[in-house]
Amino acid sequence: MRVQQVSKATIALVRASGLGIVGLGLLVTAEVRLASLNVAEWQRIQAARDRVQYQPNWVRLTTGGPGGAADPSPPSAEVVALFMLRVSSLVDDLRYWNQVIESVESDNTKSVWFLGVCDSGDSCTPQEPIGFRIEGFLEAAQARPVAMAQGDLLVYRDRRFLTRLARAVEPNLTAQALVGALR
Amino acid sequence: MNEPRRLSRATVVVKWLSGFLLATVLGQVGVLMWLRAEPGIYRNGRPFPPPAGYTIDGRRVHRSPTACYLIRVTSDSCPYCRQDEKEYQLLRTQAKSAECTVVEVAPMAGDIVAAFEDRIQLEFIDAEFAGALVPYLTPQTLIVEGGILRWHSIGVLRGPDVSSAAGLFRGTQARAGSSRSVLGRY
Repeated sequence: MRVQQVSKATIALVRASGLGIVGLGLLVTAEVRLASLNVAEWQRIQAARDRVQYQPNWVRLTTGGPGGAADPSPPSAEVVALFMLRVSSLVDDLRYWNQVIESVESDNTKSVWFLGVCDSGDSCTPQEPIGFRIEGFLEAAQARPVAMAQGDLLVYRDRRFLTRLARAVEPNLTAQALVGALR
Repeated sequence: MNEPRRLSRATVVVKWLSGFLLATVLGQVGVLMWLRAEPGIYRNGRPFPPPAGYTIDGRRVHRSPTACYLIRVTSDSCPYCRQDEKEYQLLRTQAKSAECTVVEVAPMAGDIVAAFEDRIQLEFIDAEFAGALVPYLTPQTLIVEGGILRWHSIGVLRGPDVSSAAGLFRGTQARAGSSRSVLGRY
């Protein structure tokens, strides 16, 4: 008797709500399905962001140029530091990195090999002598992190990624940060 | 005697519940549409620097800002890159007829060894192009025209990808009089 009453009450409720049992069921199913689709889309976006921000933990300095593929770094270079040079501010960039290198060399005993990567191929031709090498073309997998670093310094020790140092306003601050990272 | 009162209170609850469910379903549809509009790795219609660099045989390729390019990130050792050879061949044919230059980019030096005359095969690229291209996925296929990314496909090409790109190439063909291929300029 009690069960019958409950069943009747349930049927009356569903009717009164304006939705059939099927309607409610459809709503719940849609809810679950949409939630799973949204989670999948969110994961896709996160995976894409990870790909875009991906930073290889190694350095492979094979460069392209008129002489063919070559690794310009000396075998003795324990630490390799990469930074990007912008054609639009080339004179300032050259002066800045020259000062960084001078400060590091006066401060640090470790052999750091600096490489400037031009943002526009072979357009970065210095007018004065500089204390580092400039390359215009790298392998895509290596050129990408340099481009993404936006002028910051990428530091590798024994060809493994060590750290990314923000380009400070003053060159000696960047140099100090590098020396500190190498201690 | 209490039954109708209890019933009406429960009816209100069920009505609220269905209203809530309906609202959240609509909300989830909105969220889904918003998420789907979010680009993955690339966003079509955005500036995309044309390719420049050195080919696998050491030839210099200069950037041509107005030209049309079919760019393929590929590697000889990538099994997925061979799965859509038919679709890629079809795209190359369409690209050629629209005077678009086919450029293949190796993620790392030595990834492309087999040389082909009908396309530019880049082994080294400049930082400007590298800033736009995400080379860690193969295969990927992009159409860049006039320094703008027009179309892209990540992963193995499918029939619908070729169809959608074909429509784009037809439009490009119409504009081909004003843009020139960079083949032969390096």
